[in-house]
Amino acid sequence: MKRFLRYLVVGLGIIVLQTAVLPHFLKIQMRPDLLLILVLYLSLPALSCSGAFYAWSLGCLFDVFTGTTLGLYGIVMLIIFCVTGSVGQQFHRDNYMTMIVATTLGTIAQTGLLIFMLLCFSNNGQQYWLEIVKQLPLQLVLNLATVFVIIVILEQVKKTNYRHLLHILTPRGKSQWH
Amino acid sequence: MLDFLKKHQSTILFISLVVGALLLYSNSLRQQQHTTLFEQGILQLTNPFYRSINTASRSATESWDNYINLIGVQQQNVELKEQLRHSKRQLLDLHEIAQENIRLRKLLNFKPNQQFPEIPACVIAVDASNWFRTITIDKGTTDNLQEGLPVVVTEGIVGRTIKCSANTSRILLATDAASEVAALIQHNRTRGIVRGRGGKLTFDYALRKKDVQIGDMVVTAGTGGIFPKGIPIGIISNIIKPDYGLFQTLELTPCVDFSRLEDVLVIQQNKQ
Repeated sequence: MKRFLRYLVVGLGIIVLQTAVLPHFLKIQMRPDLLLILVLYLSLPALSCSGAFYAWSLGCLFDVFTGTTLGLYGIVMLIIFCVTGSVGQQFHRDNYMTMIVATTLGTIAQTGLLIFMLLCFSNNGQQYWLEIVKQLPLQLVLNLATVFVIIVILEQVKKTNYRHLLHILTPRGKSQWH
Repeated sequence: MLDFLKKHQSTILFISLVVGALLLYSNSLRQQQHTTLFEQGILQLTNPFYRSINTASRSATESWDNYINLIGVQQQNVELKEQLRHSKRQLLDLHEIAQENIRLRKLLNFKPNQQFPEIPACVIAVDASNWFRTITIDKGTTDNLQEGLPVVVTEGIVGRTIKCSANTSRILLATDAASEVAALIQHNRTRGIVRGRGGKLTFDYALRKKDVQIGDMVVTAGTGGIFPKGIPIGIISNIIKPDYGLFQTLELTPCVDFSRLEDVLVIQQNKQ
């Protein structure tokens, strides 16, 4: 429960950052998808039901601040978590290339899933899909740049040995989820 | 049976979660016009953070602007005085026209346009994703806001309220792909539907035979049930006439700069 609340607080912080703080600093209208990066980061150590529930909850939280329908990002994040979790077990998360590949594939998968969900279930899918596809390249660049910055920051944190901060930020593999 | 459940416990849990998520999404699709308790709670919870960030950013911008403004203040003063003189002259003319309008309306027994109260609100956040076009304002149900109210600025329409909590509301911008507004071209009264296309707008269902020019103003028709009549929407920037068909499609440049929205007005109509 504590861990769940912790992730919700981190998720809310990320959303506030993305919706109210970043627009003041970024001149372009697009922003990196920080929540997707968080979900990818959480999904890499292991696939678990509690982890999937966290990913779905974070997606639903995101839905409160985007679009018109609750649950769209919830299901998208849940599927991304499940797929990344089942594939990512074979990869080492601390390897930077893993995070970069995961972010690239995750961003593309998110775009595909959003388009699929909107076309299948929403009345306005036809109007949205082109808009979403057009913005994919820039979104990908922004997400990758953000991951790079996060990796550098985490590296600095590790170097300065802020164990407490690392304990908060890092999920410790399968054992922790159960 | 129990053995089977134990063996496939994780798979069953995953499938239940996915089915549950799908059910929630499909249920939300049917109730898009309502704000759920979960949404209200989260919006309410984050409201103080948004307000503090907004206050801090506004004071920082104000201080910077004050400093920058000092540089060209004398030149600006002269220009503003000239503008004021112009505006005063225009105001006198408009006053004359308004008087004439009142006289003619009386003569024709016209009913006056209903004036609705407007609630000023500050934009405190933008949409969390890059695909949808929504903003969050600092007024909610405690200020008598509800879902489906029109939101405008002096330049034209902004959108409509879609989710309301006690102190926060979310606005679907006119540029969002889910947004549709009943509209008409000001000079020849051609009717159609204005749809959002990301940064742009399109005017659909304009009859092909109607004479339309680039630069024509498009305003709200007042027939959609949300926006009052005559509010500017955009200016025609491109005309797409297919080789055959009944209609032509017009591309519009919005009157409002949606990337620089800071303060908006919510028109408080009585929604039944």
